Amino acid sequence: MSVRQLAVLGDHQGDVDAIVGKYPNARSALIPLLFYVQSVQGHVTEEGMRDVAQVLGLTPAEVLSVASFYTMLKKQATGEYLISVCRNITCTHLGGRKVLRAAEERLGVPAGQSTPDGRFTLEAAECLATCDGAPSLQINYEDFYKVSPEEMVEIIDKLERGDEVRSVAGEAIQTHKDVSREVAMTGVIEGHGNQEQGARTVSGEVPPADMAPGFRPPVKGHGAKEDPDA
Amino acid sequence: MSDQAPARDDLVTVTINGTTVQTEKGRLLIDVAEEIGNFIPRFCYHPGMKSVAVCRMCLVNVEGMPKLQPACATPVADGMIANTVSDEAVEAQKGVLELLLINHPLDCPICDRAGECPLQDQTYKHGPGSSRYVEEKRHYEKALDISELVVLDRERCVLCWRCVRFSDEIAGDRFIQLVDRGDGTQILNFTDDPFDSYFSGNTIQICPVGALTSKPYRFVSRPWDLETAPSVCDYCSVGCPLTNETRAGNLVRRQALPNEQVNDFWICDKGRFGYHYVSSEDRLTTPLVRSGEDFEQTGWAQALAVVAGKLKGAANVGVIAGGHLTTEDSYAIGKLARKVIGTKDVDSRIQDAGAPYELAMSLTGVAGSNATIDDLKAASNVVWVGPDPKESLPVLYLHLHTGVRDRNTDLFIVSSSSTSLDIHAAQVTRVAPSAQPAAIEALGDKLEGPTVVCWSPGYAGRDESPTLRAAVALAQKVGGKLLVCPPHAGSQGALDMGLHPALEAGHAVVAEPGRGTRQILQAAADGELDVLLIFGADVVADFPDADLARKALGGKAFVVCVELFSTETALLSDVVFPSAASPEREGTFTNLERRLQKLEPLTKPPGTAREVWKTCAAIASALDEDWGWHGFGDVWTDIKGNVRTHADVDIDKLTQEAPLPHPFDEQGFEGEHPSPLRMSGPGGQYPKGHRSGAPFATGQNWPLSWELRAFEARQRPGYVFPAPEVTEAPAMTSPEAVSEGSFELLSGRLIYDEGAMVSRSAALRGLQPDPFIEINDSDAKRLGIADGDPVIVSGAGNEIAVKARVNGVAEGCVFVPYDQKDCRANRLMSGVDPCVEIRKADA
Ligand code: SF4
Ligand code: SF4
Ligand code: FES
Ligand code: FES
Repeated sequence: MSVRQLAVLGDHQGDVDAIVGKYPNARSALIPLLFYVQSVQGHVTEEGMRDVAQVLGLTPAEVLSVASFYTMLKKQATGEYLISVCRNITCTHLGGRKVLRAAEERLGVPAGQSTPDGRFTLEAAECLATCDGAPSLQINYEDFYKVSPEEMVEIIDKLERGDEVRSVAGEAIQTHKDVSREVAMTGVIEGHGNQEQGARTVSGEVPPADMAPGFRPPVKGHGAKEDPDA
Repeated sequence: MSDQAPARDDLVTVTINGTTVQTEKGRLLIDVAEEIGNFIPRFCYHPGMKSVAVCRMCLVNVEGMPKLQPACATPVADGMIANTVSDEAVEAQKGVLELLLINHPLDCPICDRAGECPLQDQTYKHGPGSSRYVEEKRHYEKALDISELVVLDRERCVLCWRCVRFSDEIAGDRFIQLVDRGDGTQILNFTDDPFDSYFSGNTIQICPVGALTSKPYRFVSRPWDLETAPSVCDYCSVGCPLTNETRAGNLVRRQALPNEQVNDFWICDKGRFGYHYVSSEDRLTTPLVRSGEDFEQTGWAQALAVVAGKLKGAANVGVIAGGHLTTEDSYAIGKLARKVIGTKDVDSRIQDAGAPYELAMSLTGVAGSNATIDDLKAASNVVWVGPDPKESLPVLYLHLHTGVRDRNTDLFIVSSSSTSLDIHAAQVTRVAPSAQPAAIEALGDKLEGPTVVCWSPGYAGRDESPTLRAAVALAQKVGGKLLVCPPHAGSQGALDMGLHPALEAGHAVVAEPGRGTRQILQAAADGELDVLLIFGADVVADFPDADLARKALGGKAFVVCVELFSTETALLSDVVFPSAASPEREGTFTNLERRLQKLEPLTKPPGTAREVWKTCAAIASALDEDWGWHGFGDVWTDIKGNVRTHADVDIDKLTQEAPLPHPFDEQGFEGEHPSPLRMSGPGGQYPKGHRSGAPFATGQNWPLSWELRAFEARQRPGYVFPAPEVTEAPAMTSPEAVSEGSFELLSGRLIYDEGAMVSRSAALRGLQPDPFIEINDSDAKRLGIADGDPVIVSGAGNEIAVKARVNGVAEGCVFVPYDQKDCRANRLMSGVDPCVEIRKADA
């Protein structure tokens, strides 16, 4: 069986090598590569997880095991702007739920969903650790403090028009894909691939685990458990 | 301890529940306590795997420690005083169980595990009896098919990680994992990728609840309705001990029996689920005698008279036996052939025809191993010469995998086709068969420390003498041991009992060797044989030259076939005798480390089918030779008197006591239990470390097997084993210079194929991959073949159409799995070292 074509990471071999090359143990590149998949596709897709498994010599199940743990690795299609409104106790006391409702009305979708045009995803978040700025929210993980329902609507209007929006720290808001790419590439030195990968054999090639003899192609399927927040 | 015994500094003294014992340092409290009769409840701990201490069921008091300690992660220390039944510990155990049951569906009435369920048992014994939880439980889709063999019910899971750890630590194929960790943690496979492990059944056996259950056994029986007998797997030569279990006389389940010297706790799915062949419709039930095109069903006396009549006048008789016969059967066949009929033309090598086992004798003194599986585990270097052991010797693969993973073994692979162990090896040498000897020799300078060299006769139809010679020389050079791995459960026993043209029983070298399988068939095809006796061998399907086998059967020789099934070979014979399958009989198998292990009978053979040794004795008596064999014991008296290597075998010591009674036999859960282990069926739980060798008095374990080796070691000093001549004739056709499109044919078995038993085992039918061949990348490019392309492989005047996989096979070679559906590789072979042509199929 020859090696399957990389469906998502195939066009990004340079970056992938650079990320893997950062670590003495290839498996450590698992989370950065999942963010990379997210930066290409907007969320962590099934194909993407298979790619990561193949690149790192893991099984897709192992990749799923890690990917399913982290809320910042999105398993559902996610818009350009991910708006996370805090629903925890401090923010709720100071009007966070109203902010959330305003966003829901403005976007026309309930928390946990994306707008049909795929530009915005709204989610209700647990404590963002910025209670002093309550009611707090994040857009693509940049902080916004003491946001009123009206300001919420205004921010969405601006993002929709393509106007610049800045967080409390003065950061211009980038797209969710760009942010994912930034996370994935943190600390990567361009063009610094890993030469030593998997070089344990003298002759003959090393197939990734799921390509080894004994691996048989799928027979039939069923879906993984759905995200309850979806 | 006697006064003279030197103080051992690897011992510690611990006190558990008031009993003081001495034991080895480093052992776990949970095991030591169990050994002295204090069973500590547990879910996540399993002696075959590392402790993770996630379930907290085993909490106990240890003096001096402020908090309760998990016994499964607490090594005993000198002076340790532990209390496993203190109020505090008992309270903790109750609490853990109450929490575990919060989300447990308690659907025991529809759960296959009920009756042998550690959760059920431990809840009765240690649990709170009722729950304070009234809220809604967690729900998942029930009964999820995660493979063709395994069903998953996530609601029942107690998240002990046993299955995940097994897949990772032992099998090395991590198809199932914990996902959605947090309040929704569950065991799951990746979307559509099934849990397609060759070892998946072990997770069913070790799951302490009914979360993982067996599809073939689903709703088939309650454990208290099962009758169980210990046996040994009848497939490959690892010889894993297992149970046969029947309900109302039908074989419905097999489970692994533990033996740390053989299989640890594990068996492969072929051994576990490949039992339906026993009740296959193809089973023969009466003797058959040919009349014209058809067979007539007859009684034994009539058929025996026909055979005796033919044998009496016969000048030339050939005898061929298969690889799944017991030691006793093989002895009887050898005795019949050599002593009664008077022929030297005896062989038991079919698929491995010509495999030069006898070359091992210069090192080991026998045509077999001098290494044990224990040696393999202790070795710092293991050299593997042969095709993928995961396909042909699955549990041996587990030992090799865990060796690299946990025991720092350096694995050196010399193979012409890719293996599952390549990714774990310190070095892989992928070369054509002709270059293997040099590759093996080259390892000589790399191996320091204890070394075991493994050789398995890999590629059917090839002359592997130079390879084995190099392997023996390597073992000799580095002072290592040799593990010879013949293919089937009965293969080594057949060699031991002299079913080999150059060796008599006990590995005594015959002065003038007889003919081997290939020459016997050739002689039959040439009309030189009068009678051909075939025992448990489907030569048409399995001999690496199907046309020759057919010609042999179609020639003038009178063919007698003793078989389980109406195989192609049986259908081409003149007289057919039905034989008994392994669960139907008493017997022994000898595994690849030459360990003798006992099969206990459980079911009745169909019709008048009987053990092969009885058939042999009956033929002998029809030829006026009475062996005086009235039972199994008589066969062994004969063997002990006549086979020098087996003279000291105490067959009664081999007896495997029946597994523990099922819980129904017990008087509830209170009061006296000789061992609390009685609460769970096989696989539930065992103490670690004292489970091998002699039978156990405590009933904590099934006594396993007896070491033949000790006797042989005693015999060896001073005894010089004569080195035999090469017994197979040299190549009858030598391959011409390899031309464009011509390839050396490598053929080896896959775990699931068209083998006589496995193909008749319903549960495994769907698991065969689509027929394929493997070729090398550069060869594929040269021929313009891409991965997945249909190709035509031709050889010996026959052709098969299959899909090509482009893979790490050595250049100039093609790997054709031996026995695939509708494309048997042996049709492509003629002569030794066969070659084939490959071309792209026209679209
Ligand atoms: S499925 Fe069984 S073995 Fe696996 S974690 Fe759950 S309870 Fe344990
Ligand atoms: S490894 Fe061999 S002996 Fe063991 S269960 Fe599998 S086929 Fe049977
Ligand atoms: S409660 Fe909203 S940020 Fe902490
Ligand atoms: S924590 Fe010890 S058995 Fe699970």
